[in-house]
Amino acid sequence: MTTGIVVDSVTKTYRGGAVRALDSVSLNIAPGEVFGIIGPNGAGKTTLFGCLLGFLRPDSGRVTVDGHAVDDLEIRRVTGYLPERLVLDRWMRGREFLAYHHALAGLHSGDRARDVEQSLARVGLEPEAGARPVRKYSRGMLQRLGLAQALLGHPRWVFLDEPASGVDPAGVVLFRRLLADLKGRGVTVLLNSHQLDQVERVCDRVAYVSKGRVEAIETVSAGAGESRVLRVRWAAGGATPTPEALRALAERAGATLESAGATELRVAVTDDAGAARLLSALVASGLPVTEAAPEEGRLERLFLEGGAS
Amino acid sequence: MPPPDDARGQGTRQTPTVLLALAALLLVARVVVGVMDARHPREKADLVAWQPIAEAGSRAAQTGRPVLYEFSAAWCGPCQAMKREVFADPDAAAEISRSFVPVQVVDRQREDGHNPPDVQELEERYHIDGFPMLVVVAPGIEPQTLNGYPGADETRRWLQGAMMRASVGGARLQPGSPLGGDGANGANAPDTLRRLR
Amino acid sequence: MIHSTLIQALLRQRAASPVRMALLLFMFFAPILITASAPGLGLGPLGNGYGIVIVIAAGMIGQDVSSGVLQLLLARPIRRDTYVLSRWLGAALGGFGLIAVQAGLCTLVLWMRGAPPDTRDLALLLGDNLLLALGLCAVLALCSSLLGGLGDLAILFLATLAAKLMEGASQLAHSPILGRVGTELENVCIPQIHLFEFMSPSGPPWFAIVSYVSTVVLCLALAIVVVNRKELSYAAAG
Repeated sequence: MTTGIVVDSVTKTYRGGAVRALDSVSLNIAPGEVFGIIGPNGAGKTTLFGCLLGFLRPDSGRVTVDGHAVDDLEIRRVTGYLPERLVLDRWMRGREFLAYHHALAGLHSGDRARDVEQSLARVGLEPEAGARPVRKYSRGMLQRLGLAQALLGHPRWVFLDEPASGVDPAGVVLFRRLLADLKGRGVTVLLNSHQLDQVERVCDRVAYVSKGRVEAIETVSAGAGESRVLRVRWAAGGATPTPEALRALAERAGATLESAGATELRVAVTDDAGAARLLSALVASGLPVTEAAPEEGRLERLFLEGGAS
Repeated sequence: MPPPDDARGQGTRQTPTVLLALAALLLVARVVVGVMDARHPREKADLVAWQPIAEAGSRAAQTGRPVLYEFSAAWCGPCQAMKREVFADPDAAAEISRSFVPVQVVDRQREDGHNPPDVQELEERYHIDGFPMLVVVAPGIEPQTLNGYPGADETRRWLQGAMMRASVGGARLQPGSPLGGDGANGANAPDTLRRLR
Repeated sequence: MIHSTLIQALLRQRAASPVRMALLLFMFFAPILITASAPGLGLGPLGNGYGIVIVIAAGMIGQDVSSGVLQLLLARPIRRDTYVLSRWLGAALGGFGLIAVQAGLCTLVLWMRGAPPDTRDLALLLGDNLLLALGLCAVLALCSSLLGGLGDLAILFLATLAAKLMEGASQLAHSPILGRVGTELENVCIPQIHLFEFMSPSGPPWFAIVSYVSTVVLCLALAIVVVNRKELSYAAAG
């Protein structure tokens, strides 16, 4: 039985303690979980990744992966990593780069040619691109190649630092599909991303990191990302329906009342059709609706509230 | 501080214990051998691969290299200095052994009253009147001579020059033209000769 | 302890640098051309392969650290000592390989010009250069682990300069100790053994041997320690 990734009160400072990049961070990431890390620039996300991968030594606290030290060779063999600032050996061709990492990963050399071709295809790189030197790659192609590298040899632990940066919309969709695929295979994924909607769609849980601390951990249960909250306002002065009446009305329209006030309510709807059904029911009940707008995502709210606090 | 973490597996940062221990041991040995060397200095051995006089001609023909004759004598101080500073220097010795057919001609006049015939013959052929004297002989070019010992650097420069002239000179110099090596008979050469007498 | 993939990668990485290749091209062919035009010089123009080794080895670790490729590499199941030793051996073998091919071509030229070099001379030249390459690369591995980019060249240059200055100053100041320190420092900067000396009548040059081996082992051990302690990060500022 594996214990997942355990981060136990890790503190990391730079410049002799002057900069506190991580301040007693603790996290438990279960095996098979897709875990997102969000937060403003300079929050310590990349430092956290550095500690998780053993590139940085925490000042105190410890990190274990499956009960092993993070830089244990056994763990390294089943770890994939895509760094934020992807620097590839410029002299290599795409295919050579993958073959090089295939060899470094200690994977069977007999499978190399086949695995490399499959990897290229998996991230949507043409075979022709594999023959091109990586210094001629566009940002998006580099990112795809980097991801292909991280997924070589079916790792059990995957660390992705801003995987979709510089990637075109088709690439974003592809990455999301790959993540879903990883999740389906029980791979534990750590994802650091600024693209909150992406994070919300693929992650099971998300940690909001700010100023070196984990401020909040949200369960976002992937898939439910499609449902959203509608905020409805109406003109004051008329007869305000009771919350009970509103709840019953919402339920009849297939929605869930989250909260109700004197002139506004928040309702969770499953999709656009649900939203339309709810609104027409509200109007039909005689409520003078003046405004209805989807609320910002929960992660965006984290950002806003985190920034305000 | 840096947690050594779980002992179950092997990490990527292995302290090079064996190498460090070996390095410490070797450093101690280095000091010991150094001190011993200082107490009982190795004789600065002549490292040049000197060839027998009789074989000089055939080896020169076989390798195409010029012959370097070193005329010296046991009693001659500058000869010993040249030996210590040039022939015992690994770089210089390697260079000489690689570039020339080096032949040592030791004068025995003072000790024995006469020289072996081959030594006498060479001294007469190259008009040797003082020691040390270096003579570089190559086909198609007049012998080049260095009278006396002008110091290690100067000697090595002269040897390099003589080698260049010997290898290209034969082809380029017109017959009868002044030959290389003149410049090397530096202004101090007569002094050296006087000192030696 | 040594990874052949890393050795290959080092050689390809070096070959992909135009500046390095231009320098190597010159250093490689110049002595061959001299030999071809003046076969009387024998193997003399080859001298030692110091320059070739330096050009191949410079920045062997520091450049990987500065460019950032080391992060991706060390995320793989590769021990850091394996990385250091492979870089060292790769650079040394690369440098020596070039020197050996060069010596081979020179021999061929001399052969065709009817003045084949002495087999013993050729063997000594190759042996000396193999030891020089292994030694010099060990020193550069340590320097390169300390400074990024081509900082190792600066360290080596300054140390060699300091050694020469000390040796010079010792003559002026009549201080044998200073001279000895300078000589030792120079021995560390350019670790080599002249196999020639083994044929000396007073026996093998024990001090030169111990001095060479201790320098190589110490430099490699320290380079591994430095790389082990290195934190790889572009997040150091926050």
